[in-house]
Amino acid sequence: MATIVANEQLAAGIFRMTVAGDHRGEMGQFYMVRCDDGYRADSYPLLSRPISIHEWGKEGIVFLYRVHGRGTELLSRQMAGQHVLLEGPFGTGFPRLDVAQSSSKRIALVGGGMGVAPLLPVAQHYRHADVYLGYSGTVFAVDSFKKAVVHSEQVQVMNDARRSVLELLDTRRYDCIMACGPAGMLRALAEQCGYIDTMSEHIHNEWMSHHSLATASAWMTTEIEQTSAEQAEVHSSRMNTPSMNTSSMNIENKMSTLQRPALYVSIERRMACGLGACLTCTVRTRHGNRRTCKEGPVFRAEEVCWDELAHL
Amino acid sequence: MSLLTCNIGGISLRNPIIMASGTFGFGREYAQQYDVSVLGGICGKGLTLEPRAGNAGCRVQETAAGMLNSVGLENPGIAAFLADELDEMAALGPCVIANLGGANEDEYVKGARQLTADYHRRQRAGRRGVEMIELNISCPNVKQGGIQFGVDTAMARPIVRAVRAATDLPLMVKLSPNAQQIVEMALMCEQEGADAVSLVNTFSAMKIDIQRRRSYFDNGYAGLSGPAIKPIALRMVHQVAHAVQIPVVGMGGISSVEDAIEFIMAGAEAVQVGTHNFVNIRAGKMLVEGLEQWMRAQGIASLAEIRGIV
Repeated sequence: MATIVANEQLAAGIFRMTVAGDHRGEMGQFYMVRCDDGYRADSYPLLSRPISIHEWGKEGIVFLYRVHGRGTELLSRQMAGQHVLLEGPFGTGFPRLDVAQSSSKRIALVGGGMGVAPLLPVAQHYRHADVYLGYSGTVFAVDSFKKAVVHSEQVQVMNDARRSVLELLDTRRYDCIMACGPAGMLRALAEQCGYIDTMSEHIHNEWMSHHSLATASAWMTTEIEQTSAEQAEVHSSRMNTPSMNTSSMNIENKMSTLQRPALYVSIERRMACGLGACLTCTVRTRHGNRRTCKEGPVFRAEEVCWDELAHL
Repeated sequence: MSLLTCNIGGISLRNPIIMASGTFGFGREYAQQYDVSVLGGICGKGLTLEPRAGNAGCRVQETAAGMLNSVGLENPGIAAFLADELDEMAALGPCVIANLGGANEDEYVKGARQLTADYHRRQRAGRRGVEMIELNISCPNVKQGGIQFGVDTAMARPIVRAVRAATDLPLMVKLSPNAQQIVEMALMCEQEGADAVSLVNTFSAMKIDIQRRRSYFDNGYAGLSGPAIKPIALRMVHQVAHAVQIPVVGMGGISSVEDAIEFIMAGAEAVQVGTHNFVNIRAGKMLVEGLEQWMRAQGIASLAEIRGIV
């Protein structure tokens, strides 16, 4: 049980909750959060809500969330002094390069809507990164990002429901991009970075439909790799699973010769347990099934099956 | 310790709290959260002979006092389970129960043989392995196998018979609440030599996305679990427990010590806890400790004193 220090409304339907206590975690990880209901059987909602870590403040851990359904609505009505139940931190977050290495890298952070939430700790870590924030009407958390980076000009904002934040971004200028936002935005970003080739996607889907059984075995046996941008660059040239057919492999190899930035995306999926047991948040990747709550929520762009993700 | 002990198919459990299949993985993730050795048993994620990728699309939706799932038996396959998961699962302490699914009789039989052969290999080497099979003829989320056997007693009989012949491990058959005649189904399992039955699996159910004007689930229907189903599950456990001689393991929405006691009073030898693991990560520990406290407070020396008294 943890005490709420503050639960302020930043904009219409957008709340920032600070919870007292030493709640650790890595950037991009999340906690399962619920009102303190004593875990009663008749409590609503039944399941906790996964909410990513927005900040470690002086008074405690900070969660930024949007009122989406009744679960988050109940959370938004909690006052300072009341309690929430937290479990976590869970998941695999954004890669942590050492400082010497990261300052020589050109890094961009791209957030869309509530997707800006998990990027604040990333901006605080990579203070030289350029930050692109997209909103459609309601702007929030921009000042936090401006404070996090070295120069406030590094933060660019697009607030227009009809235009994409990606218009502000020249992906070729970066070695590494980390992003969180709606599936459509992430897919467009992956495309802009050169990760989606219609032909390879087609062949890949064909391959998946024939090999989905065989790939399923990979999910539990594969070690979670500690990712870094460096590894990702190496990885992109050897990403094919051994059983992948040759035509697909040729296209992948051709694509990997392009100078594309390493791209990490944090994806959203409904989940029940949050810790890797229930398999309701599984996504199909090119290496077989992966759990959004355990191997994710941050995935490398080359792993993601983009067409499938857009449908979820 | 003897306060809570119970017995299923010759296997003694330290207490009647068993984690339900599909809600506890193979125990590893929860073992990182609390000391799971306090539990009576763990039913691992449902296994099939070959790996399965599970269902595409949305897999979970919350409902009033419950949840719908459509995972579709995603699992690494029996061989990978035995090679990569079982050692760790067996080291946790609680009774190791393998939940076995299949698309047809042949798959069920081969799966049972593989689990049984592995048990004997390990036993000769002095190592723990799978101690019980929970035969899953009741998964509502797979098109082939599972539920089709779980609904119709005549269709389920040859599966139970064949698996019984294929294994000398204690065999518990997990029943579906969607069965046309659940008492008849349980009696059939008893006749065919099952050591126990467990019930109920999830209820076939639905939720529609009115914006998109379609079911949330690619399969159309999904499995309902959680507190919403508890009163029906309890009634079914009561009916079955009063009809068969073999132990009945009750489940369906158990979320508190009181819920567990209700199932035991209805006649359950032990209980399984599923959805509540998602609500309260330490649900298993809470139930074991709470049940023991309740027994002491009531001055009850053994579960037998209250079992089936209603």
